[in-house]
Amino acid sequence: MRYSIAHADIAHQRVEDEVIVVNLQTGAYFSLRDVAADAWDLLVGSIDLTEAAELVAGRYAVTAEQVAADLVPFVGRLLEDGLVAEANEASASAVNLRPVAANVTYTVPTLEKYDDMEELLLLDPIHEVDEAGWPVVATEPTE
Amino acid sequence: MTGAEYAEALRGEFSAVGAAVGVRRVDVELAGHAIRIELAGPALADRLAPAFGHLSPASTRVPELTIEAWDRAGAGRAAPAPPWDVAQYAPRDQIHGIDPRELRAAYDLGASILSLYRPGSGVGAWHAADSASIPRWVVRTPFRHLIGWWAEEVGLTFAHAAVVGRDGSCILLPGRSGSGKSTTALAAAVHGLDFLADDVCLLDTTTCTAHAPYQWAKAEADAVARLPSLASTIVDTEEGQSLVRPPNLVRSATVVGIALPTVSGQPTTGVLPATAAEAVFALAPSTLIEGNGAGVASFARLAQLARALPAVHLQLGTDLAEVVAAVDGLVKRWTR
Repeated sequence: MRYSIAHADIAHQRVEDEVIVVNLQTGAYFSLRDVAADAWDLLVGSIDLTEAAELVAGRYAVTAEQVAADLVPFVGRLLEDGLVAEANEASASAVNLRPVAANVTYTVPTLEKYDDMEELLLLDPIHEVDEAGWPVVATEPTE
Repeated sequence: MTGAEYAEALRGEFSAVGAAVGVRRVDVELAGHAIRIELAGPALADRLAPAFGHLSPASTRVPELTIEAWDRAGAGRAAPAPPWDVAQYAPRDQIHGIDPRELRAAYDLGASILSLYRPGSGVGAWHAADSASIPRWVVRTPFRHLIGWWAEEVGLTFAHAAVVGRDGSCILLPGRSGSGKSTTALAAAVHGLDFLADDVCLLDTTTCTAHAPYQWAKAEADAVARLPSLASTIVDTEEGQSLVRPPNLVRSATVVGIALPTVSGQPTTGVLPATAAEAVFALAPSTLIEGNGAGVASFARLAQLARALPAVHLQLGTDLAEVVAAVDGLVKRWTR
């Protein structure tokens, strides 16, 4: 299975061994470190999950089976949080991963989620339209 | 009517309103760009023009961004209602269903302010119900959406960070509300450091330069109590929050580093190393999510800036003089 960024409001940047992802629609943002960052780069580059597991395994001296088993729930989280979507087209792009730092060993890839700014987006005043057609905050909740 | 057609209709209304009630034109230079702000009616102009009072007058060249602002109450006339369905209005001032390649649009439901910008046009329309009911934060930092959208186009980033410094150098203090960045910035200003911003700044990441888009800052009652000399800078106070004109305001400075403030609750202030990733994590999400026009391009610029600059965690102690000494020390160290 291949994946791609879910939509244009998912912004991501790799900085050193970490990928920071911001979902501009929900206000949630995420940190993916080390193995998770590598997996992200491969997966959003439309590398097939099986191939991504092999590439990650080769970088950390673990088996591809182990990585694949870890990537399945990791991708499940990415899908659940709306960061990636299944891609139909097999249009993998070249992915150049950073060298693995000497002190970094394999760890199960995880997605750290931060939702402290979601509150900002949930502040949705119940609104209606006034007589002139301008939206206004409703004086009473509407159905 | 499409959104783009509506934007043009609103521009037409602005011309008519301006002819009727008069327009105050503010031509200023911001981050090396000529900006023109046209405010219809004296009441609106009196409320919003002072925010840009620190900027130097623009040269005679054609403005790169023109903002046309008016309010229905000040104009004494109705405005065409927006063409969008009520269900399209969403949190964070968003209006769903508009193609951002055609039109950037934001509606602040609480403040009843509509901002419209056609990409590449260099002209923004701003419309409010009543200048008298414009919230304090809008008076302090007007036209954030419009300036942010335009800035994104010209390679600038409207970033969420306080900025202080000395002798032409400055550091960014990014952080969420409550991180201590605003009080730190005000403390630095009253202790003689240069002040650029307590909340938002305009960044040119290609030259590592920070610009002060506004001359105002906000001061909570606690900050005024801890910094008594702030009292002389207060313009007015409303519900315990003061609008202040900070001393030592400078328009631009070179960014030499990033300090990530946190309130430690301890008496002393500490400085610990931070990674570039931590700096991006403090700077980018709130810049992007708070809706000041910054988008994917700004994310890349902020990451580039963070990779190029030193960063530290600044654990703010309760002694503000010590906090300022730590900030000053960082600016001096990173300027060498």
